[in-house]
Amino acid sequence: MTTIYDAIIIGSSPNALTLAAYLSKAKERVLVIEPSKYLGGIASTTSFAEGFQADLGLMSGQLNSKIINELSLSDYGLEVIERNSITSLLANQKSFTLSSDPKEAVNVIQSFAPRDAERYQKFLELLNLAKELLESAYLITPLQAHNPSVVEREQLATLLGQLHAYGRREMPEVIRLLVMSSRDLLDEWFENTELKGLLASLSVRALTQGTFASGTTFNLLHHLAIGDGYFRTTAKGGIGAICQALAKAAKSFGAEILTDTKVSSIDINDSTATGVKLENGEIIKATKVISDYDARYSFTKLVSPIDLEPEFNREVKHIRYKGSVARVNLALSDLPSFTGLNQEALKGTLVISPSVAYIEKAFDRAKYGQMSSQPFIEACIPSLSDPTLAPSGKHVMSIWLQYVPYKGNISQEQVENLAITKLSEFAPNLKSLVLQSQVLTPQDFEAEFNLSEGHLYGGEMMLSQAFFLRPLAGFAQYQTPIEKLYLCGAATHPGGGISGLAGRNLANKLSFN
Amino acid sequence: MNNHKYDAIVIGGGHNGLVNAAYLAKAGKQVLVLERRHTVGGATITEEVYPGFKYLIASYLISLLRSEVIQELELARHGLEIMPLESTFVPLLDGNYLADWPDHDATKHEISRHSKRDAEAYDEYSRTMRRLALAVRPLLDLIPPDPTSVTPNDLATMAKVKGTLSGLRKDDFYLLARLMTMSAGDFLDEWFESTPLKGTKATSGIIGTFMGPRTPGTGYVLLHHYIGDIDGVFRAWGFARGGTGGLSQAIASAARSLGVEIKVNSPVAQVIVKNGVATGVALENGDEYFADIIVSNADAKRTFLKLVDSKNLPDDFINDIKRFRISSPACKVNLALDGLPEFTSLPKGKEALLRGSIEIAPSIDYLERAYDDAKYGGWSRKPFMDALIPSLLDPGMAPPGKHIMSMFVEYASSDLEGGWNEEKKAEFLDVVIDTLAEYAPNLKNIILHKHIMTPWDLENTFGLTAGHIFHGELSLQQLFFLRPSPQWSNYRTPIQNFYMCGSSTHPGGCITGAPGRNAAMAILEDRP
Repeated sequence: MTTIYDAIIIGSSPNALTLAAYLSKAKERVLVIEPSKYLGGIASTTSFAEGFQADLGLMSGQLNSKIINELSLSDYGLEVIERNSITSLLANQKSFTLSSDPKEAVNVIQSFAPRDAERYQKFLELLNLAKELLESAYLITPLQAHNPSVVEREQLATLLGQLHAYGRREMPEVIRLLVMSSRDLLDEWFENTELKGLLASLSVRALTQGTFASGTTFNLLHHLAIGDGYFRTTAKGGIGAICQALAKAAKSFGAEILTDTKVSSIDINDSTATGVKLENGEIIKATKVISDYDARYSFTKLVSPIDLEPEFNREVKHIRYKGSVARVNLALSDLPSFTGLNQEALKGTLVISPSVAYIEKAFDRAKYGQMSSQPFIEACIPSLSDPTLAPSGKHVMSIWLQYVPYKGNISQEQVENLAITKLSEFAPNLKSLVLQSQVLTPQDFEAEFNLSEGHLYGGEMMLSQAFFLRPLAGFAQYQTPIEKLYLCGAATHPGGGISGLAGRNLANKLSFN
Repeated sequence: MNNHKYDAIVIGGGHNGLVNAAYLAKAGKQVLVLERRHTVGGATITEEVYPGFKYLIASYLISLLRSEVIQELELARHGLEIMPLESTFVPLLDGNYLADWPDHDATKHEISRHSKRDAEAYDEYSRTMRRLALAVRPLLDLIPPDPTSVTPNDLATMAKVKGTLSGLRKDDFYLLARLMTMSAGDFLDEWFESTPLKGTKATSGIIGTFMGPRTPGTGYVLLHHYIGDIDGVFRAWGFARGGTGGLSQAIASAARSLGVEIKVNSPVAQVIVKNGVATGVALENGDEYFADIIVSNADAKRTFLKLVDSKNLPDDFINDIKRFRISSPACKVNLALDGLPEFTSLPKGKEALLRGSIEIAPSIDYLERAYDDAKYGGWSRKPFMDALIPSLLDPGMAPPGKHIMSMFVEYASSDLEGGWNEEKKAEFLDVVIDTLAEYAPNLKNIILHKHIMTPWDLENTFGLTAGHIFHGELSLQQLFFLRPSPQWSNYRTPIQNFYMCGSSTHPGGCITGAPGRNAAMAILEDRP
C-alpha cells in the first residue's frame, strides 16, 4: 500500500522541524527527510573527536519564544544557555569584557571611554526599538509590497502604527537604522575605536560585506531580532539539542523523520509537486512538498530548471550567496589561558574585531577571493558552561572565522592555521593543547550540506534580499512557481538563524489556507 | 550700514541659490543674492587659471538640470546652450577600447566586439533604466513629506509618493526596491558579462560618492545619474558653451532680468537671528542686510555650524547636522595641452571619440581597488577618471591649436591621513597624470600647465565642507525626508524665516536646480 503524506519536508533545519511539529500537531501526516547523517544539518552538534561534541555550522541562536511555548519544548528536553558576556581581544593581549547587563557594561566602558559610556544605554534603547519592529515583522508572512491585499494592508498599518508610536524623533531614527552602514551608525554614537569595533562585529556576521556597506546595520538588527545578538545563546547539549527537542516534539505528534536519505528530485506533474524521488529510485508521494533548502539548490537540483520560466531561472541565478564563513572546532586537552581573562569571561564569546576598519580590511581581501591574515573571529568554549560536551578536564573551542571567500578555494589547513595562529596571540598555549580539529569551509558546507556557495543563511541578509524580496521578489510568501511546492528554510523570510520563524509562518499560512 | 530691506536674501550664488532667487523674484519678491567669491556660480563655474585656457575647476557636466528649470526660467534666451556629449570612450591597456556612440546600433556593435550577449542585453538594460528613471523622476520635484506628521500637506505628499510607487509595473517596483539597496556592481553583474562595459556603467554609481561600486547603496547613485535629462534625452550628459560657468551666467542673467540683485565679493559671516526668527545677514566686512526671508545655498554643515549661532538651534538638530556624512573623494584636474593626447587604443578614423567623455574605468575591480586605496584616508594608486576635452567642443576654451583637458578624478580622501598640503597635492596630481599617460603616452610631453582641485581646495575655494560636490553623501540614510535631517527635510529650518536651498537638501547633488526650485515652492507656501 502506498502512503500519501500530507507533507514531505526536505531538510531538517529548525525551520523544517518547527514546520513539521506544527503540521503534525494539526494532524497532518508529515515526513521529514534529512539527506545528511545529522538531524538539523548545519544546525547539528556532532562528535568530531572521541568524547568531544561541537556545533557543526551555526554556533548560537535560539528558537522564538512563541515556538518554545506553543510546542512545550522544555518538556522535550530543551534547556537554553545564555552566554552573558562578550570579550574584545585587542592588540598586546589587552581586552575588555562587556556584560549583557547594561549597567555593568557601562561601568566597564566608563573605564576607557567615559563619553561613550554615557551614550551606551541610549544606543541600546534605540537598537531595541528597531529590533521590536523587526520582531513584529518576523512573526508574519512578508507583505506583498506592491498592491497589497486588504489583509496585508491591515498588517502593514499595524507595523506602521508601531513605528509611529515610537514618536516623532525616534521614528525616522529607526528608519535610518534599517538602511545605514554599521560604520555610519557607530560613528554617530561613539568615539572609542575599540568599542566601535566590538559593536560592529555583529553587523557582518554571516555576511560577505564590510562595515562600510549600507544595510550592515540591518544585519545587526536581524541578529538582535532573532535572539542571536551580541550575547550568543545556545542550548544544553549544543545547537543540535534544539533540533533534537523539536524532532521529539514532532515525532510525538506523529511526524516521521528520516536521516541519511538522499532526495534526488521533487516529483512534478503538470506544474504541481506530487512527491519526492529518492536517490535509490524510490518515489514517495505527498500532497505538498516543502524544501528547507535555499532557492538555488531547490530550483536547480531538486526541481529541474526546465520546469520553470527562464525569467525565474535568471533571478535564481542572481541571488547573492557568496558564503565566507568558515568554522573550526578544536578538541583541547585543557582550558587555554587567555592573558588577563578569567574563567567567567571565557564562558562568554571572544571576539577579534578591534575596529570598524579592521573588519572592512578583512573584507577587502575577500572581495578579490583572498583570505585576510587578519580575520574577524568569534570564538567560544561551550564546554565551560556545558561539561557534557567534552571529557572531564578537557574542552571544546568553537571558532567562527570570516572572511573565507567561497570562490577563493582556501583549504581547511589554511583556515585552521590562521584561526590557531590568530587566537594564539591572546592564548599562547592554545596550539599545544589541540588534540584534534574539525574545519568546514564554505566549499565544505556546499559539498556536504548542499548550501549554495556554502552560505549558512541560504542567501545574504542584505536589504535587497530581505522581506518581500526574500528569496525572490514575487515569491517571498513561501510559495514557488510550482503548485504545492513551498520553501521554508533560511532562504525565506525572516532569513538566517535558528529562530524557526519561517517554519512557523509557513505553518500558519498552510493551516489558514 | 545698509538699511535697505529686501523680501529675501539668498546666501551663496551657486546654481541652486540663483535658481531659488530667480523663482522668488518671479513670484514678485525683491531678492538679493550675496556671493563670497568674485563671480557667481559657486562650484558651477569656469575660470581662466592659466592665460588663454578656460578651466572647469569644479563641476564640468550638465545632465540633471531639470527641464522645468530651463523652461520656466527661459535659460535658453539667457544664453544657455548645452551641447550634448555624444560619446564615451573607454581606453584599455591591452590595446582594445570600448565606445558608446550616440547611435544606439553603433553602440551595440561596439559592445558586441566584447560580448554578443551583452549587446543583446544592452537594449533591455537601456529601456529598463529609462523606465525606472522616469518613474522616480516625479519624486525629485516634491517637497519631502515628514512621515511622522499628519498635516494635510504632508499627507497629500505621502499619497503622491505612494501613488508614484504603486503606479509602477510590478516587476519594475521590485527592481527599483532592489536597485535602491544593492551595489551598482552587483546590479550590473546581473545584466552584463563584459569587464569594460561593466566598468564604464559602474562609474555612474560612484561619481561624487565615497563608496565603491561594490558598496550596497551605489545602486541608488547609479539611478540618480540616470534621471538626468537634457531636452528629454535620458542619461545624456551635456556640456554648456563656455563651460558650466556658462550655465551659471545664464541663470544669473535670468535672475537679474527678473529683478534679482546680485552682489559678489560679499562673504556672509553670520545669519542675524532675533528671538528665533532670521531677520538678516551680516557680512564679514560688517555690512548688514535685512529681509523677511533668508535662504542659505551653503551646505548644511557650513550653514548651521558656521553661519548660525548654535544657541539658536535645538541640540538634536545640531547633532543631526554634525553627523551628516560629508567626506568626499572627488578631485578636479585640469591640463593645458599643446596638442591632443594620443590614446594608444584609439583606432584611426575614430578621433571623434575625443569629443566625448573619456573614461579610465576598465573594470569594476579597478574602480573598487581605487576605492579601497582611498577609504582609510588615502588616495587611489590608479584613480578613476572621467575626462573631457572641452576645447574640442567649444574652441573658445583654449588658444588655437591648443587644448584643455578637464578631468573628474576619484578617489582622494578629504580626510587624508596627515591632512592635505601643497606637496601632497602635487604628488597626487602626478599619480593622476602617470595613470592617464599609461593610456596616452604623449601626454606628459604636451602638458603646458597642470592644475588640481582636491577636496581640500574645493573646501577652501568654494566653502564646500570637506569639498563635497553633492553637499553630503547620497547614502540611503541621507535621502529624501532624511536629508539633511529627519525633521527638517522640507527646506525649512528650526529658525523661523530661515530656509535651505542647496544640495544638502532633497534631491541632493548634481546640477539639477531642483533643490533651489523646490525650496522656492516651500518658501512661497509660507510667504506667498
